[in-house]
Amino acid sequence: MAKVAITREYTAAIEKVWEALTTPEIIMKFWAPPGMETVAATIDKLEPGGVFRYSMKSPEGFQQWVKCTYEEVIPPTKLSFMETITDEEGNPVPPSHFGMPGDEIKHHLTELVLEQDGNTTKLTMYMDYGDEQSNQYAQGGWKGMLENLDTVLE
Amino acid sequence: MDIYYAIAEPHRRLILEQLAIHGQLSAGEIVEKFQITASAISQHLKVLFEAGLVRKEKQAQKRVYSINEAGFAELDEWTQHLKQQWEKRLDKLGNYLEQQ
Repeated sequence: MAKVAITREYTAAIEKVWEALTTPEIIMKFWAPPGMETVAATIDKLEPGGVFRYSMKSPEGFQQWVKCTYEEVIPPTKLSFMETITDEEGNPVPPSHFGMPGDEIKHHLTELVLEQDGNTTKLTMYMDYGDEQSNQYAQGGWKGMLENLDTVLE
Repeated sequence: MDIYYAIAEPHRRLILEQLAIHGQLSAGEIVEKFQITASAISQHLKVLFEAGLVRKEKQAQKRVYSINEAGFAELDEWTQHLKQQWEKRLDKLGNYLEQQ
């Protein structure tokens, strides 16, 4: 439950994958999971502190907004952002606001790392929950502690 | 009480770790394990309890604390939800890249 990683390999140049992850018109095509529709995607500045916002709509008409603040933008190899669910005005709201699990406002850090190997590009997504403060504490090893807790709780 | 706020504080994470190791501890036993005051420990236990991360029960004259697994399940449920969303998103990115 501490840190999640997902890896994919794509037969595409690293620049193409980077472009897809950082261009709103392309993000609109793949961001929402099947059954949902990406109805908005904007990036004000593609640089640390810049904001990427997107909105997804379910067939029932539920619309969810997410605000991502970039922390690291290193083309074409690394993109990281702090993600928060918001209402349409950009105010943070808990997931339960959109019928998802959780009554507390959540922030989590997402990191996307790209590596080119011949004609394939490997993409690894790392996700870590917590706010900026707890991510600072992460350097002190609290992830290890939560992993230990996992073992004990199993 | 925000679960993320609760686990952001290092002493509180250490208290959780001790509870996970020992199963259950009284407030007095927790105080003995740390170099901070009983009232500070008491505040930390209050935050952890309100965040749903620990249970407390009265045994004789003592208050005994233990980990509340259900509180951690909420953290886990949310992580799983996001993970599934990313799995599907990255598959769709693959479909898009193939069409290029």
